[in-house]
Amino acid sequence: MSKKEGYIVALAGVPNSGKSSIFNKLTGGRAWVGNWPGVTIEKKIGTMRINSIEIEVVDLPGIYGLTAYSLDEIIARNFIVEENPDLVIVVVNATNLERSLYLALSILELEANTIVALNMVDLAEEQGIVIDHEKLSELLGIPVIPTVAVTGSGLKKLRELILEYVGRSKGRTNIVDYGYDLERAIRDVEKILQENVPEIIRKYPSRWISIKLLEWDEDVIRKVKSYAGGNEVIRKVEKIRAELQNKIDDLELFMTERRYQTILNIVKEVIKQTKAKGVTWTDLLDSILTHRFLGIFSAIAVLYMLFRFAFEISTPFVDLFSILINGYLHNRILGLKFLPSWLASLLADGVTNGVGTVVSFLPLIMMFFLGLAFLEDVGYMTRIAYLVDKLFSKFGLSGKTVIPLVIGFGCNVPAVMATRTIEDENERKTAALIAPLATCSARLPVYMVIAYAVFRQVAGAVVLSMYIWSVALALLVALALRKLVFKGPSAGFVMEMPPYIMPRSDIIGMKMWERSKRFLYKAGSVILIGVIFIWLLSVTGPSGFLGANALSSPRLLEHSWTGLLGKAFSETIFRPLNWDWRISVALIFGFIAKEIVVGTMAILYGIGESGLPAALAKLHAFTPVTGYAFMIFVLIYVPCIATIATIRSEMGSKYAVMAVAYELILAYTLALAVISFGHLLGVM
Amino acid sequence: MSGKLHASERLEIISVISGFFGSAYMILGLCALVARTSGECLTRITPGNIGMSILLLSIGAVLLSSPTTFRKNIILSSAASLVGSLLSITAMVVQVLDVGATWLDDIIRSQSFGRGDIVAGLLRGDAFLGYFMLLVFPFVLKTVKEHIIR
Repeated sequence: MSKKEGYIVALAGVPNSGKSSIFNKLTGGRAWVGNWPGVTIEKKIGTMRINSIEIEVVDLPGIYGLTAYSLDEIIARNFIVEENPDLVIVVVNATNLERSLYLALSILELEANTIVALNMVDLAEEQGIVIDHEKLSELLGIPVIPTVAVTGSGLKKLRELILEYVGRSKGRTNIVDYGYDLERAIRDVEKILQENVPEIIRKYPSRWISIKLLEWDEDVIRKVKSYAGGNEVIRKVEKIRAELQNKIDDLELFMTERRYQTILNIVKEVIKQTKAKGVTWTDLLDSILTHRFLGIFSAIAVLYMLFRFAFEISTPFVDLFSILINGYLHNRILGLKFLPSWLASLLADGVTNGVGTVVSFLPLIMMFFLGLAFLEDVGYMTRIAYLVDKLFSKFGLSGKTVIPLVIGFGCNVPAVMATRTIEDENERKTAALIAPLATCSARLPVYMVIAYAVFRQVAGAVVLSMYIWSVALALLVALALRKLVFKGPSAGFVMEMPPYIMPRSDIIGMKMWERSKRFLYKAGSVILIGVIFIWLLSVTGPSGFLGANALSSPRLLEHSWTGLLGKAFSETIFRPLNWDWRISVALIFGFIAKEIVVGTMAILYGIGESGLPAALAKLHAFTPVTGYAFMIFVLIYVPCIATIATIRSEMGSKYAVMAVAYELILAYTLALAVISFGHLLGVM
Repeated sequence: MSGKLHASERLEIISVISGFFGSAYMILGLCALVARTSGECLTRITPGNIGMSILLLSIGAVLLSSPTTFRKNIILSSAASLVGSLLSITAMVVQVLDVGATWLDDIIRSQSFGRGDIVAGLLRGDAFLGYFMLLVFPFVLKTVKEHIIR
């Protein structure tokens, strides 16, 4: 190790290799999140300290190779070649060495200073796979250390290796032999680069650039063309490619095959199968959980239980929060005699009732994310993506769209961003436009309030029906978009099934907290501003300040700005939907963020200790039909300003307007359909 | 019971047990559907909503596939017993937690929650069948581990 301070270590690995677990173990779970330059894909950075030396650890996106077909792969390779990390740790999945080694070889071709963490060796051994890591190290020419990230085994040695190798100079590693003709062509291209664009050789490894040019990698071609003399290089490479293609039909395929041949040779030398490959627990469970019929039945059962767990078990905690915040705290603030009445009203009726009602749903959100993190950690969510792939293909999408949709159940903003991993442009745009239909955690409190106010006994099933509507509508809208706007075949996708593992409470807890934290943060920022604004509009009107008690006086409230606004909507656009003016106001302010819907209702209905659902039930604010129509409307109409802004930054203003327009029309039409259907059945 | 039995006999026993419980889940699931739509059906033990009906029918379908696939695909049959019993036990745990949560909620809201309600909740069909599956599960797990997993 040299004496430089402030090292950067990049962590690379295929999906499901345990890369995130290693990242968390190395950094102690302390990470901050930013964006990769020029794109809105999340970049996770943490720090570790070894012998008082601080090292920044950058978690690269989970990738299978370093091609130019996926944005994640371009990001990873650009980081390695342009940011020049002092060390790259490649996390290799020991249960699927072939797949992981492809990435390792691609990184070695970049001539990065690399070490390998051979992870999940315990699972591999369970499957009778014993890997000679010393031999592997010898064949790759870099250190290889066996690890089990979830238990922390091997991580002490990994830290020692990081300390020993970080900042070492790079070495040229020609592990893959591309054969006589191609190797000669690579040397020729290197020479052309040296003669025409020597600057690029100083920045990027010449052999790697040459290989990529011969593979006709568009990103590298762009890079070369950006230099003076670059066009000349490309012309010469084209000529070399044409000559080569007289001998080799498909150059890119040939090069991929040579890499896999090298990998097979390595694997043959380092893997010892100690027992005949038989049925593993993963095979056994997958025979049911990925079965075309039984897999669906199992998924229905698992997801329904997840909802029961989250919604029904969280009830006492939600009620306790509600009593403490909306009852005790609210009354205490109102009882503070030294506060002027307007300030007491702002703090009690505005902030406490508004933000407090949203925060009281934190136990529910946490339990939902706890269950979701558990399913992710054991490896079950991947099976759900696999199960729906066939179904999704009928709607012009691939199973890859499931990932943004699942993320969307947490928050629509990262869901729209997650569509960047979809290679096919038409599919990506479709996925980004349907992502807001994934019912995010902000909508959950709204469903819960209505479900408990109107459908108490079957609240869980009613809320679950929103999720079914969410997926069904996303698919139908996708079908319409693929048929009418983004035409073209679905690209399909390849997904690796990770083995099932015993979930780790620390990892699940961390995932749950990371996601719940966003909900809390939003409550303390945008929701707080929103409810203060609503309070202000509720205690003032055309005649000026109505008094701090306007919120407890229906007559005064009706003459406030919110009352007038709500009435204008409820007597015109929302008239056929039969909603109270206060509900209209809640929906209008819900444009800012969906959590504000509950906060606004809490302010305008002036709730007490029993909480909003009880207050709504007592006032008969909703019938089962109008309540369900309201839930449908909230599910579909504009998710929040942040999501719209993300769609705009990802796809442009045209598509942001398109998203808002279709969601409003669809929300209104379906809510009206529910009301009309209720009328037809004589149920109101 | 199990020591003197052959592997195939032990696997057959778990598939028969799964079939028995699968049928019970199907009956309970159909009853939940009937109770919700048109009338009463095993009122004391049947959960009365569509969601629970779908859950019970789904668990029943998985468990019933064990005896029906036993002759054709012993791995699938064993997996059905294992997954079915896991789903059944999870459903029972969720129901028990739900009873506890409702009890706690009523204390918080100062409402009465009689001992009868707790007993009724704990003896509801989905919980009741889950207790039996919990008893059977170690035998299912041991049999599958010894005779299927390699």
